[in-house]
Order: sequence, then C-alpha cells, then structure tokens
Amino acid sequence: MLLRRSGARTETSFNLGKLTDTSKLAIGITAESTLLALAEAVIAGSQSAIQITRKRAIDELGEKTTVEAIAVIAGFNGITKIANGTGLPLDPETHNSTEKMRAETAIDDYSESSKFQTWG
Amino acid sequence: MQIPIAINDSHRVALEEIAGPGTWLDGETRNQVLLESRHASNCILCQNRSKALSPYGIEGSHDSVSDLPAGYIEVIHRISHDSGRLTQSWFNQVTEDLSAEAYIEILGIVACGVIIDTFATGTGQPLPAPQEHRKGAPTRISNPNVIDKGAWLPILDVTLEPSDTGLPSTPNIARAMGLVPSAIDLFFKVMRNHYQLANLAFDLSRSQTEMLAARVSSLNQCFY
Repeated sequence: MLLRRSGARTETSFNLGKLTDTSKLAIGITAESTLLALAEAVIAGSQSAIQITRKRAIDELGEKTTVEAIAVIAGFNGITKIANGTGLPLDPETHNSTEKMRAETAIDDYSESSKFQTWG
Repeated sequence: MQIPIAINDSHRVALEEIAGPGTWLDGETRNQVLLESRHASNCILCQNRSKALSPYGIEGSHDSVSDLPAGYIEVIHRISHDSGRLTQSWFNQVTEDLSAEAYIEILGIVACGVIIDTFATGTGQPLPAPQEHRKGAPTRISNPNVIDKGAWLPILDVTLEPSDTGLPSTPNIARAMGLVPSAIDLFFKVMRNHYQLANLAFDLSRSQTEMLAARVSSLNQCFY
C-alpha cells in the first residue's frame, strides 16, 4: 500500500500490477528485477536460487543494501502471517484511499471475502 | 555477510524471550512452537496441501517434532506454511479447543520465528538454535483493552490520530495481536529492525523497500 504513497511523494508513477504478476510492464524502480528475483527466491526458500539471486544483488547493489533487502523480505514474510492469521481488515483510511490500486493489482483476490468464496 | 548488529541483537533477544514463560504458554511450549514452525516445510501433509487447489480437501496428520497437541500443530503448520489460504471457518474450528489468547501467542511466536529464519536463510547463515527454556508459569492475564474491528478476533483498542505517512498512528497490523500485548512487544522488537514506516536507516530506497514489502505480501497472498 505504501509503494503508491512513496510514488506520490516523489511524483513518480509506478506500474503496480507487476507486484502481483498482473502486468508484464516494469514497475519503474531501480534494480527492480534483481530485488524481485531475490524476494521470490528467499520466500521460496530454495538455497540454490537464493545463492544466485543474492550474488546478483550484491554485484548490482552492494552487500549492505542486499542485506537490507533480505531484512525487509524477512520482515514482511513474518508480518503477513499476522495479517493472514487474524483476518485483519485494512484500516478504513487505507481501504478508502487504495480502491484504484487494489483494482489495478488484483490484490482484492486476497481479501477475506474472496478467500471465503474460494475456500469457505 | 556483514549483519547489522541491531538485527542480530533483536533476534537474540527474541529467542531469549520466546524461551521464557509468556502470557498463556510456558517457556518449554513456546520453544516447541518455534521448532514446530521450522519443521512445517518438511511436513508431508503441509506439502500435499500446498500442491492442492484447496488445502481443505486434504485430510491427514501432520509430521511433528514436538509433543504439542494436534490442534496446536495444525495452527503452527498452517500459519507457517500456508497462511494465505486461512479462512475464518478454519480459525473458528481451531479455536474450538484453543483459546483465542493462546492462538495469538502462538501466532506471535511463529511470525517472529519466520522473520528470524527467513533472514538467516536469505543471508546464508545457519538457523539460530532456541535458547534453553526457563521454568515459570504464564501470567494468564487477559487484556480487556480490545475492540471488534472486523478481524477474526478483537484487536487492541487505541486512540487513532493521523500520522506523517497518511496512515493511522497505530495501523491495524500493530493492533492485531491486542489480546496478548506481550506478543505485540515480542514481534515488533524484531520487526522494527527490519522495516519501519519512517526513519529506517537503510541505503535501500523507500520505493525499493515498499516494492519488496508489496511483493512479499503478494507471494503470501496477503491482502493487508
């Protein structure tokens, strides 16, 4: 949700559909393919993929930034367990201000109502 | 890799806290929750459920590394391994035999352990061993300061004020485990070294940070 706000603050337009694989266009963020590949490898937990993507990230961004990226990935891998495990709704302010973005990214597919319709 | 001291310290402190008595679970049980969470990816039932279009049609028993009750193991494995497909029906079912407070304490430990383990795996370090558990009884003090806001269980009741980010001063995610305030403390003791809404002293840009956050949320099928 905050990527949209981050773009607004810097007057940058991001293609957010890529975040949920609903777009083949680039998002418009420096080193995005390297970082997204690292995130996917770390979340999948594949050691070989992690080694490859981590090396690529270190080569492109440096070790410090790569460690920071892994820290963010790890943090959100944890915090999503809390959101998913409590059926937590969006804050009303966020809900109201992200309607267009949620449609663009198809993120509503992950909502409680959508999950209920799919799995009961 | 050079690991920031603050991250290493927060992980060590969290493991020490997990090993001690909590609000609803004792230290030995809390350590077992951590170990069981680590084991979830090796569980055949969890693997079969992951491959299935719906996890709810696959019956069986979890492979376990602890003597925790079956209901605990179902909660731990599902949150660790397939949290994106949890539903309120599932939550209602598992909390028939497990108090909502104990559920939250387990959730907090699992989420904390996921951060620690994901970071270790991502940076190529061995998973840190749990600390020796400390004896002592859980306090079993309920927190009455909670409110129904549409989640599966009540969340922390706080006074909300606008913040610099345009989000509430205390977003729902920080209130989600309000039934067990010590679970909130434990989790954010770790989380705040991995991500903050503001003043995160990273070379990684804010846009790169939020892109990673959003992608990981998507990979976990997380709406929030």
